[in-house]
Amino acid sequence: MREDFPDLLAAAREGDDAAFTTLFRSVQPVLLRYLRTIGGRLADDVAAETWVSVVRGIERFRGDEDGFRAWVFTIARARLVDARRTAARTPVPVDVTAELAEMPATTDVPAAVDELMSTEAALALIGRLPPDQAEAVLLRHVVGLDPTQAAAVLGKRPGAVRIATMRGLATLRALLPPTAPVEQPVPGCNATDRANG
Amino acid sequence: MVTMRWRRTEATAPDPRVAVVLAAAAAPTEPGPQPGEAPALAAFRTAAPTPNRRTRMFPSLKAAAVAATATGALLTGGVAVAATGALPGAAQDTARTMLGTVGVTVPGPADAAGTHPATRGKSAATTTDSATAVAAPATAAATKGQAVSGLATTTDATGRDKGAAISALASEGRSKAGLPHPTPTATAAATTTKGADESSTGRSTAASASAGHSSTGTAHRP
Repeated sequence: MREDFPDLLAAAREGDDAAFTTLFRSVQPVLLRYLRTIGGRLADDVAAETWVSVVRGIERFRGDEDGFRAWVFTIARARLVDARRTAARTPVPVDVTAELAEMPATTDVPAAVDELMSTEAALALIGRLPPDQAEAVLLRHVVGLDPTQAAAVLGKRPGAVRIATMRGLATLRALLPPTAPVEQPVPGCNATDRANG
Repeated sequence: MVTMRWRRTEATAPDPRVAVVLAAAAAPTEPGPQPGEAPALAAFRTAAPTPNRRTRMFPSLKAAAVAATATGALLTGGVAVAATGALPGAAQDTARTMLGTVGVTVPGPADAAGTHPATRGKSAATTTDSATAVAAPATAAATKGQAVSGLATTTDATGRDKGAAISALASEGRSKAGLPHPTPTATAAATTTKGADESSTGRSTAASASAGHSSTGTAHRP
């Protein structure tokens, strides 16, 4: 979408439904994952409010695709803070650690994802992290923002985001039960290689 | 066609199991409509950019056009009424002044009265006559004053005669200043004699003074 983003943005500003729908579908999945992980039952309402703010302010937005995504998440986080003022957070009570303990690790991560863990389960596990670590891990590894963009969303410095991410990954590892010896990943064996046969 | 782009900001995870979790959390979603898409699209169409905004602006433009038309009608009607001189006096005067600045000539507040003011209530003539009547005595008084003053400064008379001459002129002969007063000698003598007699006789004073009508000095009735 990077090459088409300026055209999409311009078309959306002119009221083109298809252009806006494309922008929406490029962000909404990860937006819901982020909000559902840290916002619980408030996620859907906050996401809806976020898009209302986006359509109202899209004419004022200036930036590229990464900036657009960071802008949307900045709005979403602000709306979530507002929503939390009137509603208590409800964590997602999903326990997948036992299931993970039964399954050996694999060098083929995407295959392991298919076999071991659903997206919801993975997000629930991330949701057990301390809030600042969970947000940092989500923005960096799920949404795909770089440290600077994630720092802008969280209102922190990039260095603080890096530290929170590292701690979050360490905490995540600690949450996983010990398993049988794990084969180390083989360099070059990733999703692209698997898709190419 | 735009495709979903999923990026991994860190190529490798520190632990394979953690990498599994992160990969699951960031797994691609099914293409097509996403949850919440319909409400978001509705919000987009409501607050939409240019096309819908033009639609929303139409009522404002229409209202502005109606207001402009109404204002124009009021101005035109006001000028027409002012041109006939039918406005009340102050309004007609104001309209004449304001329209005169833009080169439109309309009657003044008194123009519609025609020649009527010339015969109205004789107030104008009365005013003129009154002014003349007031001015004439003023002129005569000034002349008389000058005459009196001239006499006072030029007469050779002195004392009582001078005062009498001036008073006579100022009062146009009505003054009696300078005329000899009646001689008080006889009266004063008679009064003196009478008083002396009466005082000598005591009780006869009242009788003499009252020419016999007084009862003073008579015996009191029981």
